[in-house]
Amino acid sequence: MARFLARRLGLAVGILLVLSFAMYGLLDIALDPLADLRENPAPNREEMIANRVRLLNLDLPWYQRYFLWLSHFVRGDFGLAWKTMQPVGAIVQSAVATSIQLIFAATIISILTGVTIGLISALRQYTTFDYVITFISFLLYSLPVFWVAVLLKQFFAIGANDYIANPSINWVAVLIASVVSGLFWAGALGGRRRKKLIVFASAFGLTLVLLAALLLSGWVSHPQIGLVGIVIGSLAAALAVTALFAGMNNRRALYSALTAAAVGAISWWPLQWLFVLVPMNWGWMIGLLALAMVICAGIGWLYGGPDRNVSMRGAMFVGLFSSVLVFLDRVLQTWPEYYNTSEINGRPIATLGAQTPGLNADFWMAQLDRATHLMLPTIALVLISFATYTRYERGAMLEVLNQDYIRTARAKGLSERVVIVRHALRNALMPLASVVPVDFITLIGGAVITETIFSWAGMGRLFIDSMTNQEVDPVMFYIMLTGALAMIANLVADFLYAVIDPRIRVNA
Amino acid sequence: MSNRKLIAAAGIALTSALALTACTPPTPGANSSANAATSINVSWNQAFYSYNNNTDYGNAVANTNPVYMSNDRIAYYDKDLKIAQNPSFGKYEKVSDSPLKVKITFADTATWSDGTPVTAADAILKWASASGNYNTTKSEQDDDGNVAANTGNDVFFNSSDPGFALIKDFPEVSADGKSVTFTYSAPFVDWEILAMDPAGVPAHVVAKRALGTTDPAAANQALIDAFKNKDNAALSKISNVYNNDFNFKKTPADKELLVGSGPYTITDIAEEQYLTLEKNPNYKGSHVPSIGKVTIRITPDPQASVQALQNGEVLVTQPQATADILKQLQGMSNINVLTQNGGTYEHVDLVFKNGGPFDPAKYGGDAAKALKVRQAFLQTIPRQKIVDNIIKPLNPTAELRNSFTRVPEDKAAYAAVTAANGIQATYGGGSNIDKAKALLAEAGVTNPTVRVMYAQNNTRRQQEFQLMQESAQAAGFTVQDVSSKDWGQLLKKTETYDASLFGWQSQSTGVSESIANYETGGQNNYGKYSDPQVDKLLDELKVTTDTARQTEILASVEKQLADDAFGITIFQFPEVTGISKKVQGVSSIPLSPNYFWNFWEWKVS
Repeated sequence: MARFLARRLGLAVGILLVLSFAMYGLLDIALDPLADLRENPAPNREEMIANRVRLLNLDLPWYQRYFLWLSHFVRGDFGLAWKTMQPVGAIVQSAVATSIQLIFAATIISILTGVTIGLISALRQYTTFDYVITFISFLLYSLPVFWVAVLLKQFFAIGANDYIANPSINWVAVLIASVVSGLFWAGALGGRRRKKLIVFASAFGLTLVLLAALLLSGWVSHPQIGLVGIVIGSLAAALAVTALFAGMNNRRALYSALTAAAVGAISWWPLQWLFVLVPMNWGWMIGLLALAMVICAGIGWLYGGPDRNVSMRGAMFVGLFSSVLVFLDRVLQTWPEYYNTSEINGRPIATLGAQTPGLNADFWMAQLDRATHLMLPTIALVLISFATYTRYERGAMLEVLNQDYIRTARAKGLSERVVIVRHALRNALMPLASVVPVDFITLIGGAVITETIFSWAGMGRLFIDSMTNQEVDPVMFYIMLTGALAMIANLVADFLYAVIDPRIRVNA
Repeated sequence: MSNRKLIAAAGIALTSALALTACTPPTPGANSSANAATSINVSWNQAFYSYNNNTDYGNAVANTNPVYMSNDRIAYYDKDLKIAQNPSFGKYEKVSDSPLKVKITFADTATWSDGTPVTAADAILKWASASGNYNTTKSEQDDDGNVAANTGNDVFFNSSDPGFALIKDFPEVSADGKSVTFTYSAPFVDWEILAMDPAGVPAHVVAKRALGTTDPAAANQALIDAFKNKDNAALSKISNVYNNDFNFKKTPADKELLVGSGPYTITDIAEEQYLTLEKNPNYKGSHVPSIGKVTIRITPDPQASVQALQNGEVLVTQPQATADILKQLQGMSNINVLTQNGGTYEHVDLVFKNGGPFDPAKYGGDAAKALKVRQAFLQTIPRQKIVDNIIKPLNPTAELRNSFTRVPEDKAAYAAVTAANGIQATYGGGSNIDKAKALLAEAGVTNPTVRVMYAQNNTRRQQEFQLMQESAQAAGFTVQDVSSKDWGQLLKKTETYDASLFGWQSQSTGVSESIANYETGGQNNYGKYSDPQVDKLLDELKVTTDTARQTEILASVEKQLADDAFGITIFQFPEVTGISKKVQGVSSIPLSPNYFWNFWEWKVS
């Protein structure tokens, strides 16, 4: 194990050295730090050129500069973004933080939706539903992000803001949305024609009623969840979680999920007082979530029975869900005030940046502000990256479903739910262990185009700006960071694989 | 406890919770933003990074605009690029011509935002740092190329200005410390440009940080003394503070670094995102703005800034002009669009000494023959067609630029110079194929080859080159494309090209910046043009402070340049500004600070 680790790390350092040497040489060809001065008509230009040559050691050949750079780099001095005279170490900190903020949510959402849709697609292999999902995911995959971003801004920011200010209900759009929802659920749940028709009709009706209620009640101008929303949402989650992971026959699991939902809803009221009396921060949020998890685990444990773990897990799922609902509810409560501040001025959905400048916001409103800014870039990133996960998971699931042990499980007479959730799903998730760490690590490298279009000052922007500013040091830092992280990610993926798949040993 | 009981308990709890909601739950505290004052967001494409824009690296538009808003000045450019005075900050006067003496007096209303008056010390710091007189070493970098602080007695101000360099003697400071008289060792034609903005970063803050003197008056005096006595130990520290302390990309912990003398003060900087300026409560001058808070948001992508304008996130934007961006702006209902000239102009320069078709050496030293070939080539350049096809879509009022030295917005001087130089009369709109053929025939040269250099990665210049090539080939030239993305480096290597197509950016309305383009051996005179008459006139220009005479000299210089077929000017770069109808009073000038020039007159409804 230790030998394996040492070998891999040694190899990684070697690769990084070669990489840095090659990149430094290429950058020396690509960048010209004197470019701006050459066009400058100032009479003291020669002096400025001389200053810069001295500053950047341009009189030395590039390989000598490389070794100078390397000797500083290994001592933790990452060099200078000379255009702005900022040390590289200082500017990358906020850039890394911004990139993670931007891409974290998008990656989580694409993994969740991509895996779910891919799974259903595999279960409904070669149905119309499967073909449509395949078509859509390839369509989205091939969209250029800059174009998607411009359209998103036009319709989901400029258009949506206009709509919120002056809502008028478009019944045709509502009907189309309801039909799409009906078709989706009918396709996803599958079954015979009669079942499909019933599913279609109920999904269509439910969506229509829900949309109409939201639109007619003016919810769009004043979005909220409220206690009613939390109660309904938590109960629905309790039923869904139980049906999927325990089965409705497991009464203990059902009751513990329902109890967790009830406790979640009850805690709404005292929490409102807590939120008003104590200024909140993320520490509090994490603490409260942990408390909720402990309580829910306790609920599941109290219900006891032979299958105690299933009850506990179900209750915790429900607890997580209702905690999120309570959080969202509180964030949305700041909507009217947010909407009317002079900085927002009735245009809540933003096309630019990570936050509204100068907004006098408390913790909750700051989260709302972050959400209005994250919305568009997140949608853009999810639309494009979710396709990969869909295809990946569909393939993995299909492979597992053809395994002998699945046939054995069916032959034993296990219910389809147990076969899929307990035997197939777990093994179908295994290949993700090699994809997800790499995807998470690339978060830090940033999304070059998305960041530029939405004016987020993340790592991608840093890279592009440094290239156009002809600054070698920040570009080298970027290359070293992403290079090192990519190797770490691969290492983590190898280890994860060994942990979840007993057939694999790392020191083999 | 049985399950049933538990469920019952849960049910009761849920019911009572629902009942409790009847009691009004606490609503979020109505901490309405007390900031009812008006605010405005505007867009710029590059982020602020240094509050000292007098250093070599801090001198960028991204810094100049916020510095312009947070610091007052004696004079500024108005809409017509006329120099407008601001007596509430001070006045300048030429005391004598020989030697040139300029007296700068700060008004009593000129105050830094921390309450300290603006005094001679501030002007002395700006002059002394840019003069180069006090530098004892060439650079503050150590052998490893790191920004090392000046140590011991090493003094290096990373700032230089050819005008300030001419002031060698220590200036006279008046008894009250409010005025200072600079004596130039040689006459300097653009003294007024220097006097317009005499104060840079606050001297008392620099002195406090460098020398530890906390009392502002004592700090100012300490700084003056350090320069006067050439106290290198103190100057070393002062130069360190001057070079390094004002470089920041986020709000500095030390608020004294943001002390300014202007109507606004920088209050918040988010790295690469935005910069907020709020009204300076201690401002006593006359440029009192009506808007309480201005935020400059950073949007490098032109398309993003246009959509942000449509979404109301910014109210003013000046994106890089393309036909698509302009069309999009014009399609928006609540936006006013300004199209006008920018500060950069496009031109073609010819190479005189490379053995090429424009060099007399090629024709055995026959200067007349070379002149005719040059004239013939310039006659073919389709100037009007380039403007019509490439620039008019962006700026419908675009016209040919007919002057080598004056911007069209500087109307009086431009009119006088263009009337005299004969560019319009000789070349008109260009594409004069017949004239060119005739000139070539006179010269007896057939099918000369001209290598044209321009920026390969610049689409607009590629289009221009296409038009030029077509036209010149019709007249019997062979035109070779030697464009390169390293064109800037290659400009000096005249053996690689015969004609160059690029832009010069005007920094001010001063006349000194064009001298280096045309004098013999001038650093921007890439084509190695040399004419004794032009040199004589330019030497006279360097020491002529009378503006009327300056214009006369420039007119004669340009006449000579045109007669010698030095090259030709084509157009002024277009500039597009989109302004929301919610703001009034915003317009733009071709020089920095562009649309910020009259920020105090902005109104928002």
